[in-house]
Amino acid sequence: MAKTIMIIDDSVSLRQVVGIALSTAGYEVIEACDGQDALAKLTGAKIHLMICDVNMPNMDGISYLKALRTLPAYKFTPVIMLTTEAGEDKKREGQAAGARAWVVKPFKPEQLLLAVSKLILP
Amino acid sequence: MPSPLAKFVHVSPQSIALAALALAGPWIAGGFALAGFLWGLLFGLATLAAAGWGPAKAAPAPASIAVVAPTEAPEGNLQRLTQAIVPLWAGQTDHARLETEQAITALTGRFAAIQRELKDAAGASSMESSREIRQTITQSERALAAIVTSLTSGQAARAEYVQKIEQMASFTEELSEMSAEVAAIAAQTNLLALNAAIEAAHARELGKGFAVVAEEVRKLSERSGTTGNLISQRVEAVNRVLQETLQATRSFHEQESASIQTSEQTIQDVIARFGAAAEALALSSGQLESVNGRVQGEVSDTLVHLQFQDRVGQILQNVVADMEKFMTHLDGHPSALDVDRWLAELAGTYTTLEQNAIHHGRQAGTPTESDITFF
Repeated sequence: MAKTIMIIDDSVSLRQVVGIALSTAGYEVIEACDGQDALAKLTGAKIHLMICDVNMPNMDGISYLKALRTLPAYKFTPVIMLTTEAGEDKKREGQAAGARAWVVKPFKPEQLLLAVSKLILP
Repeated sequence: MPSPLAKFVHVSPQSIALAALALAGPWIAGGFALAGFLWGLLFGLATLAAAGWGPAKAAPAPASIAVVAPTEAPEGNLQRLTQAIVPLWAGQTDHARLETEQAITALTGRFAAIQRELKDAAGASSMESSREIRQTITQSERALAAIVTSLTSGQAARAEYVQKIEQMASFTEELSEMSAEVAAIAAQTNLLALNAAIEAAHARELGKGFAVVAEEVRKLSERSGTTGNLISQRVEAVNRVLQETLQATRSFHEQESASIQTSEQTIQDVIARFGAAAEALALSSGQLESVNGRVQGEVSDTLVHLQFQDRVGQILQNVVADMEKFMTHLDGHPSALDVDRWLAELAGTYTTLEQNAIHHGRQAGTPTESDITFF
């Protein structure tokens, strides 16, 4: 059975680019347009990994990550931050909130898939 | 050409130089030209505002700047222009950002569809299916060759049959000779019987009994002669039939041989044509697959490059947000503008390395591919 990955990004085109890369590699993809939307879509079903933007309307990526870690079902779900933010302070903030990797846009699909295969839950 | 701002405000050469630097700087920034340009306008305006918001200086204007007598207080003009123009810039910038986003989203969707279709097409005309066709042709060739072998072995069996008939025909010749011999013996016996009858007649009364025997022998010789003739006729009839059968079998054998040869040749031709078609198919399928792979790679690269929209969108959002902040400030106390603090706050909103580079007057360069930091 295909593993499920959630993409959280306010840019539709970015979600499409990531979605194509993941579905081509055989993953099932769920999309959310910001942190709030992502929380609303968490039904308790297993999500093997999340890819999350940092700067988003309504709820940004770091706040979402903090909220996610309070939910027992998703406490240990690996999250890759995919963002234009390249500053070390932001990276540290993401790490403290529970991110497992930090990828700065623009990214190559192969790079992202490598990170995904390294971190995804069994 | 005189600066359009010059008719609204008297400025010092230093202020003009600072503004010009701020306006020109962004053009260095390649891919971030639009955002950089807007930043430049904003900084230029801020610099001009900082320099010219106080009372206009009485110093003579540089030769390159035409000074037009203001119709009202210059600071009032600048503030009015700024209040009018900054919302316009912000609106236009935001509109451009949204339009770009919509267009790129549509473009990405189309490229994604193309990539899916290419993938499906590659699956349908893969080398695997062409290999399957070639395998089927090889199997058909083997099956047809087996049929030809079977036909040829049947032909060999019939050749043996023809030989047997030929052998039978040679037996009938022997039978003819034997029946001729029987006829000759009968004729000789008949002659002997005749001689015996003559000798019996010479013996008169004493030869009577012998004459009866001679007559009986003569009759037997006649019957033998008749039977010999009948055998000879039958053997001839059988021989005729056998010769006709032999003729027909030989003719059929020759036709069959020709037919098998033609079939074999036809099968070989058909197999060769199928083989050639399969080879051509494999070749074109391989070429198609290779082209498909290249196009898929190009589309994939294009999709990656379309990520610029997300970066540019964020940069333009920062520009618009700062313009709005600028407007709010103008509505309050413009004279209390703290340029350094403003610029520091603006720098705090940057997300990309390129924004920081432009802010500090460095060349932004092209964004490089990302490295991954694992925690």
